[in-house]
Amino acid sequence: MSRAMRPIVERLVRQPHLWLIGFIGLIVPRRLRGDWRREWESELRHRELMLAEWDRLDGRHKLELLRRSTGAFLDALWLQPRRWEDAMIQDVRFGIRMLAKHPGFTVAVVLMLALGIGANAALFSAVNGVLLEPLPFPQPDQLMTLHQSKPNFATGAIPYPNFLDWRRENRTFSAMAISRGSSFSLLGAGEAERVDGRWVSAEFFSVLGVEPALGRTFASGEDAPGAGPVAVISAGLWQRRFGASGDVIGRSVTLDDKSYTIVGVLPASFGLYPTTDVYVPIGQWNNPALENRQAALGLHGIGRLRPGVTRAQAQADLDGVMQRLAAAYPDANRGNGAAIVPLKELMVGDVGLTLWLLLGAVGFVLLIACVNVSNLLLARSTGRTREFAIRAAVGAGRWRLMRQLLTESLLLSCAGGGLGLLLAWWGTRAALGVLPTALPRAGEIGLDGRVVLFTVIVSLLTGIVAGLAPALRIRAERLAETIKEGGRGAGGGRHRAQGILVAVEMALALVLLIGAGLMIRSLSALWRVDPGFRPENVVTFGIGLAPDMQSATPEAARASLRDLSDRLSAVPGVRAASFSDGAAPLQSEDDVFFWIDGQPKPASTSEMHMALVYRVEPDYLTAMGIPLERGRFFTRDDDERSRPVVVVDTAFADQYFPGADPIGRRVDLGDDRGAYEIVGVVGHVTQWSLNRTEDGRESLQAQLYEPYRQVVANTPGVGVVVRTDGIGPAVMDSIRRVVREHDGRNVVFGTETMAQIMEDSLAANSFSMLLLEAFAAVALLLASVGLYGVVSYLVGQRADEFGIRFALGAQRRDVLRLVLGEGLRMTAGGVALGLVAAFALTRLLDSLLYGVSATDPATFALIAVLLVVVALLACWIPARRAATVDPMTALRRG
Amino acid sequence: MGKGYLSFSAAAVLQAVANGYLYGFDIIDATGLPGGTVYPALRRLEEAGYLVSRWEKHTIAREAARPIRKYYEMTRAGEDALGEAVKRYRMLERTEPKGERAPKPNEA
Repeated sequence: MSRAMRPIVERLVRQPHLWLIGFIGLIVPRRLRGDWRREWESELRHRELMLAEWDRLDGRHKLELLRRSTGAFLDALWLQPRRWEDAMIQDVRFGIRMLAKHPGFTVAVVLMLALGIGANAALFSAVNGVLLEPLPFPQPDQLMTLHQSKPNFATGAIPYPNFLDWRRENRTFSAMAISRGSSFSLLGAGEAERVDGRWVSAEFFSVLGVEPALGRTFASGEDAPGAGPVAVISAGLWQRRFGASGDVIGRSVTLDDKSYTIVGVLPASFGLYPTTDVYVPIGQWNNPALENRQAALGLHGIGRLRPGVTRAQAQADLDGVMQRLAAAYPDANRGNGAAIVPLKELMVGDVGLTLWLLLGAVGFVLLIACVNVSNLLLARSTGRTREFAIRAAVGAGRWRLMRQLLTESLLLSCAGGGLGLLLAWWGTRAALGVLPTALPRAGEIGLDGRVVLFTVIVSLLTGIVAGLAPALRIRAERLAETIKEGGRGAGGGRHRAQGILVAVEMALALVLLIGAGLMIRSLSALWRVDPGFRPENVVTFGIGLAPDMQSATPEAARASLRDLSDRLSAVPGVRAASFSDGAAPLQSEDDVFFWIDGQPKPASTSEMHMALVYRVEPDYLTAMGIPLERGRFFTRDDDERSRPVVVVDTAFADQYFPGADPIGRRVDLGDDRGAYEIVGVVGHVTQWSLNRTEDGRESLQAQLYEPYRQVVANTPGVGVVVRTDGIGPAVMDSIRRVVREHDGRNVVFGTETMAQIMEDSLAANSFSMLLLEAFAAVALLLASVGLYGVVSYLVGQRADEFGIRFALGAQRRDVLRLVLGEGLRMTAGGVALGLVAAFALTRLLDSLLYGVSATDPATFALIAVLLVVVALLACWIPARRAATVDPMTALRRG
Repeated sequence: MGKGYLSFSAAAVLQAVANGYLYGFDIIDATGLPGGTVYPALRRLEEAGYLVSRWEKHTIAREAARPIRKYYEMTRAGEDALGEAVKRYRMLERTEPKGERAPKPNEA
């Protein structure tokens, strides 16, 4: 046995308990080890000595000592967490010191990460608020919207008598209510204002579970005709017109010349109808059509399912009710059914797909930022090779050094995350301020716990991903080499890693750029779509008429309207003006049932044909710029006294008179005026959407025009379309003046240009396109900066080599070509990878694109070329620097 | 372990120290708890501020020709905590203080 081993073996044999302590002590954290061993060993020694004193140190007691020393194992285990605390705090302190030493680097990286993480947080808060967050009502999953399905319209309005039957006979809803939007002229408590209102049934607010902030909502029975006129107002109106005063309950407001008593104020958090200011019981609506089982007055229902009832069960229940109604009232209800759509689905619409796609896109941007940071850290870790090598030499393990690097990158990413969260908060508020209607449920987008948690997780992942590459490059044997070499190796492996990272960045940027490019092409295709009318210099607005228009005789009303129309046409700057009722392209829809004269009258409306109806004046064609194809349009002679005439569009003609001339044929509109003669055919206008595919999905395309003067008399308001010589405030001011001159109580509201309306109808597309463009631009910038950084760094590393090449006779352009070639190689790899990825991923955009395929080769090629050009530019500066290396300096240094 | 709530074994250890058993192994004997319980309890109690630990004076140990031992003393806070624990764990009252209190080993 060797000399060194003897004492150890002796100890093992004679004092195994002490040896065991020494063995267990190996797992105790180094800092605490000394103390720990001393305590245990001294206790064991003490006991050993005591036992020896008492002459009891025999085999049994020795075993006892051994047993006691095993307790040290649990104690050592208990001390393990200390190890982490110490090391972690050390790492963090050291990391902060290192980052503070290079403030420029640190600030640049933190900013880059803040942008990336902040963009992700902002978009996630949108996804969270719109898609993930449940609606702000009690048990929101029970809330369903109710509609009547007709043969050609799946979610149509419910006639009021049908609704009453549904409410009485259903078995699956605990409560049901109905409502319809409207607008009122509000007087009292300030100057006259046009406000959005809603006719509701009495249980409307209790179905939703909304408690009033002040006062009460409607009591049951208050929606019956003849009940007292009461109203519930919004928090916004309460603040605006009543200064949020506490005594608003019991005060009255005048809506359309009728006085209502305010009984309640809604809380500010009620956002289902954000622009609606006043809610009035439906019984107050003086409309005889409410009793007509065939009249669809734009009423839609909302109901709360009973606990435990599924949507399918409710659907079956209402289907049964409708079947009974169809049997009892075949004229009105044959062929109609019930449709149930969850409230959340209705509110959120199609925006879900877009939001998720955008979240994916912004994830790419963050990934590129990560890769950039990774490259930067990688480059910087070269400069620290000596530091790491020395630390390794004095005992720091590979894992320890890796942990140090990861800690630094985590510090950077958490700082970036914190700043990013601030940016996200500020950014979403700014964006929503600019585009409040771009998203549904916009009021619920904000920073809540889930968004913060998401940001924390993203920050941690970012730190890990960014720090991974440099951390993995710590290799013990390389470190030893580096000390020998004096710390200046170029590190071929490091070079390769950087090259791969740059290629990945380029690939990601390419995918985003192609996505943005496709969206741009799609949007410009949409803009080029011919809507069937000429929108330039066209303005639409509404006029709320003086209340006695309603109570006047039809003749007096008509005369007054004619007067107003003439005045409007006479305004200087107005080229053509026309009243417009019924449907309006891209704005509102209205339809009529009809049958072709000469064919037998269908037994119920479900067997009649349907057409969009536009009630307009003779100047409408000029005002809208719609071409007249055949026959004639209306004239001033087409009024209530002349024979009934209509004009149809080309779609109507093709559908109902294919191959024949519709002029002279007649249609019956089911009113008491008999058959209408078709006197003209005009061009088809885009009614539903500028997106031809979306528009084409609507089955109702036939369009029919009625002369305004023939059909409209007593009306509370009119819509107006005006073509001006140029859009300017002067014309609208003159129009407003003229309208008030006609009657001081008239109110002009809702002024919009046709161009604006077209823009709004493309708003959803524009919004996502804008965002995608922004992300792609940022991605391109980041990727170019990344490429520039890497090439720059490589040039710096190889400066000596270039110097030597020059000394050996190389030309400037050879070195230039060399460097550019390097950059191009990385770019080429990235482009190849990116094209493959883009090919796979752009399919996800399919439903958002119009007029261009998701794999459009022209776009792909163009973007690839663009990327290569930008990459060349990014490499140019470092390449030039390489070409101007002074060979003498290099030789001297080497 | 947060301030205020002592587990039974921690309370037992604290009581043992109060009864005059100041060294780790003595506490093990007095409480009957194993070393793997007593020592972690001692450390937790020290972290919570109920005990302080000290090494005994070199001179004492040198005379006995053995390494110096670490001993534990109760703090004011520890006394309060023990008072609370005793109310909760009735069995603690039945422990016996160590014979006549051994003279406190002077600080190392």
